[in-house]
Amino acid sequence: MKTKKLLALVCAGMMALSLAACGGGSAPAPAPSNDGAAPADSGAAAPAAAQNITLVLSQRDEWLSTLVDGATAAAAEMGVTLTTVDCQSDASKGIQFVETAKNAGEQVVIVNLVDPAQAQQIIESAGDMKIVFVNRTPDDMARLNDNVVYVGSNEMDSGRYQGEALAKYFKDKGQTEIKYILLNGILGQTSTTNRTLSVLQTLEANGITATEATAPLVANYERPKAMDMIKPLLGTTEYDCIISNNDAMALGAIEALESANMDPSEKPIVGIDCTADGAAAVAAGKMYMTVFQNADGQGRGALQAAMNLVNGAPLNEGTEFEVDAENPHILWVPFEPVDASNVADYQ
Amino acid sequence: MSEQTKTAAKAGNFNAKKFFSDNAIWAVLIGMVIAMNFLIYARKGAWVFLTPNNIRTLFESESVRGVLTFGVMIAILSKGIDLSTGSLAGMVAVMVASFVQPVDLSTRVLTSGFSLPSFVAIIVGLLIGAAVGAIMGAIIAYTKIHPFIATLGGQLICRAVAKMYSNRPVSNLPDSFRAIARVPYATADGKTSSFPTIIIVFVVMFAISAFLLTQTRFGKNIYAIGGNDQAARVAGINVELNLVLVYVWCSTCAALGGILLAARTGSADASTYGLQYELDAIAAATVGGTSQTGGICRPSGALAGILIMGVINNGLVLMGVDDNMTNVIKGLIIVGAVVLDMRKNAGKK
Repeated sequence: MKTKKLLALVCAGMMALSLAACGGGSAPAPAPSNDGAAPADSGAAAPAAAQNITLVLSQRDEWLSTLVDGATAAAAEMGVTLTTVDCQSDASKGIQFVETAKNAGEQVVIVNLVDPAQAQQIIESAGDMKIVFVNRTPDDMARLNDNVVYVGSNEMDSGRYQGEALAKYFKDKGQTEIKYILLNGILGQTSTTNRTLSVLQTLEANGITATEATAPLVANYERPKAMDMIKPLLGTTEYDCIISNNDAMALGAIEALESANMDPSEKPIVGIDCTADGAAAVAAGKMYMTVFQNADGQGRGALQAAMNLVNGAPLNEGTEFEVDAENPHILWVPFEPVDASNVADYQ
Repeated sequence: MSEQTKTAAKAGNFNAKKFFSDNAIWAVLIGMVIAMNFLIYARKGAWVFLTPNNIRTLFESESVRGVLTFGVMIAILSKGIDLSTGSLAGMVAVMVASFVQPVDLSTRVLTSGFSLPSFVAIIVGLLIGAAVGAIMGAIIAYTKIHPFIATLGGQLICRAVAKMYSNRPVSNLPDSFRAIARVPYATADGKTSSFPTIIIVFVVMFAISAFLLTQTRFGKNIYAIGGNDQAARVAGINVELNLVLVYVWCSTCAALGGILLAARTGSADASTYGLQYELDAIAAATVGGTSQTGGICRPSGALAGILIMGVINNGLVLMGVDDNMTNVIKGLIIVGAVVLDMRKNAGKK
């Protein structure tokens, strides 16, 4: 008797599973089992639930904290309660937080991905809940749809601005062959890959033959690590410029140069982020240029986009940003190059 | 084995044998330096490894992790471990840095304007470290929970407190504070140079920890506790009190490491400073012959361990070896060192 019951249960379970798999999330397939009715409740939650939005943060650093500040300010203006949770760079926590938000009956969630490849998993976990990916891009933009959008900056632009600035610098000097030292962020992250790729592509496109003076240096976006890596190379390795994936590592390089009694303004050092310290270094002439990534704008943009999704409004309504020309589900918050000429605007 | 040792002792060359066995790690270090020197020459076509400048760089780079190692080696000697040192270093770095930031700085972290003279701030930082160590030590000694767990908790809490304290780098630190790591001075030709005080601090910390372990009752007690805590108790040693002191020492070293890190880089960032330094410190102590089973530790061995890690970190960058490969080599050396160590100590215990 017992075994038969168990068998029936297993069969029913397998049927439910295969049905769900066939549905592929395109339509909420009516599940045949009894408890299939339970999840439907959350979908039919009162519209008032949009007042609560969760922002899932990959980690807390200076830049992302500014993003949170922007989103919090925008939430206060819109009368939305924003809860920020921190994954501490653990991808599985991201899924947990999204499921918790869904269970709480929230209509939309803002996600700053730990890992781009996690995007599909997040979309599945969110069920009917709408998603705004912010800052870090999903692995495939084709995953975006009417319910899943992206708000952020195009990482290929940040490296492009670095590359253009360096190309101009060396062309003005009449130099077309350069040796560079490249400080990489955390390997495997989209930002690291695209920043490195785009700066090298841009140099090449501008007729600069760039070769690496060392093996690729990986300083994980950390200032002390960059300092320790650059220091032994000074005086032992010939190079024309230092390219850094962020300001913190560029500042580490500057610190290394200064501690070796070398002038950091002699050879261009370029960063990305335009942090307070980065901007100060540009103003002091120690860093050649940096690229401003609008953390506040991304935070505000993400919250506005979330509300637009819930209200069925156009993605960029209420923002100063533009939707991508080809993919209507991307809202671009532009990067801005910052050098000595305009750094005062960013301080 | 013991029979052989006895014979050797009778023959009068026991000490020499013991000396070579104990200091085998220095032979490894010298071998590595020589090998690295030639490998880098082959790669660069110039003798750039053993230059005064590069040796200075190597010591400066390893000083912070080195000071952490002098702390954690005593925790390991007591048959414990301290996983909190990296996070604690980060926390103290951020706090001390915030005390000494120039008052007129527009991006100052402590907007209240609270500030301390550099010397006082450093003392306060060390006291914060000692207090954290006392709490962890008391929990370990009196609740008998494993040090791994107690200090893992400490690691999480210290990192979180650091991030709550400041979500952005605490930078623009004044020269008066940075003097603990480097003192700038003007050279004859009008340029500025700097004196690496951080290396002096490192050497002094080595001397203090070697003195503590070999010349004081505290040191002898820790060897006894690490070897066999029951026997130590029977011999009248206050095991609990000594364990608390072990973690006070270890955490004070970590706090000093954090202060040095902030002073050396001129900045302190809660999310990245000291990240995984606890593992680097444990690795250096282990490579230096500090046994995970407790009771065995030589300060000079730990010093050699630190320098071996430094030769790898520095040399492989000069050689242009890929970062992943560097970690593979480090991993192999750590595991290899422990295998050798266990074989060496198998006869002793």
